[in-house]
Amino acid sequence: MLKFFKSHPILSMVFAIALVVTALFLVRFAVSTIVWSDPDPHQQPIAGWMTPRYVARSRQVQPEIVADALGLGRDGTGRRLTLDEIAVSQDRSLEELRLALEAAVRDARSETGD
Amino acid sequence: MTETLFGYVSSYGLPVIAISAFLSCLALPIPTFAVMLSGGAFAASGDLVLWQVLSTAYLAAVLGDQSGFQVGRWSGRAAIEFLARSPKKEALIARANASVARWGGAGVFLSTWLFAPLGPWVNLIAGAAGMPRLQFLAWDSTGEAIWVATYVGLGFLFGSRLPDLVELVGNWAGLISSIGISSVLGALLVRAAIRHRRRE
Repeated sequence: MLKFFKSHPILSMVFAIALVVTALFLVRFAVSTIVWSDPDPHQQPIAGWMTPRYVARSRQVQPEIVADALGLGRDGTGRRLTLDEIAVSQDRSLEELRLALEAAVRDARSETGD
Repeated sequence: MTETLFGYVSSYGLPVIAISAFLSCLALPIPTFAVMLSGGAFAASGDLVLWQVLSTAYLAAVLGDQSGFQVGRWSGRAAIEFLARSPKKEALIARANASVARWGGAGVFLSTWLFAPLGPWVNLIAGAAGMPRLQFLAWDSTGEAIWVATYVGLGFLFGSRLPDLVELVGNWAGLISSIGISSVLGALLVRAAIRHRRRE
């Protein structure tokens, strides 16, 4: 057996590497499955890449609640902006926006009794 | 890094989806699956429009694959003709061409969605091996439809937890591809072992 592997060194080595990579992905996939099946979907922190509508959807609140918390006008244009861009245009920090959003989401939930 | 990518998709929308789908078919290392998932997620939130995301991604991916195929045709044929001057290699190349003719369609089909990391290379090989253009187009456009619909669809349905979804789907795709590659290599080793034993 060993003699055979020695007579095909490159193929054997590439195969061994492929097996290691497969094992690595198996572990990573198992971990991400456990993370995914976490029953609390509200753990996802609010981040700068998110749009107001994305925040509304991921926190399961009405888009108007998010728009009000960010002080966005409802001009009906619905231009796509990320929280990073909103923070810059309003001269506020992302952290400020995040706190305002979390508070608004909490209020909205307590009103609906969630 | 993926967060920067989400930011690009939400800020610039369809052009980012088109560019990344096109370039990833030419072997540029862009995590296009993450772009597709976020395209679906932002369509679900109402920031993008679902049919536009789907059709943009689909057209760009098929165009990208066609470009790779064409590059294979131009550069690969010359390289193969050069190699085929030696009679030993000529036999090898004839065998390679025969296996592309036999398995090429299925290979192109599977490399567009199930073993997506292999896609760009399969496009080049198919072009170089002289697969008929219409045959390539038919298998490729069917496979890409599955790929785009699956990834954008997953993003649309489960994208409210986009970072977790990208992790999960990325690891799943990596697992499937590495199992596929290991199986092919294992089969080659088994075949070599059988020959080895016969010789002894």
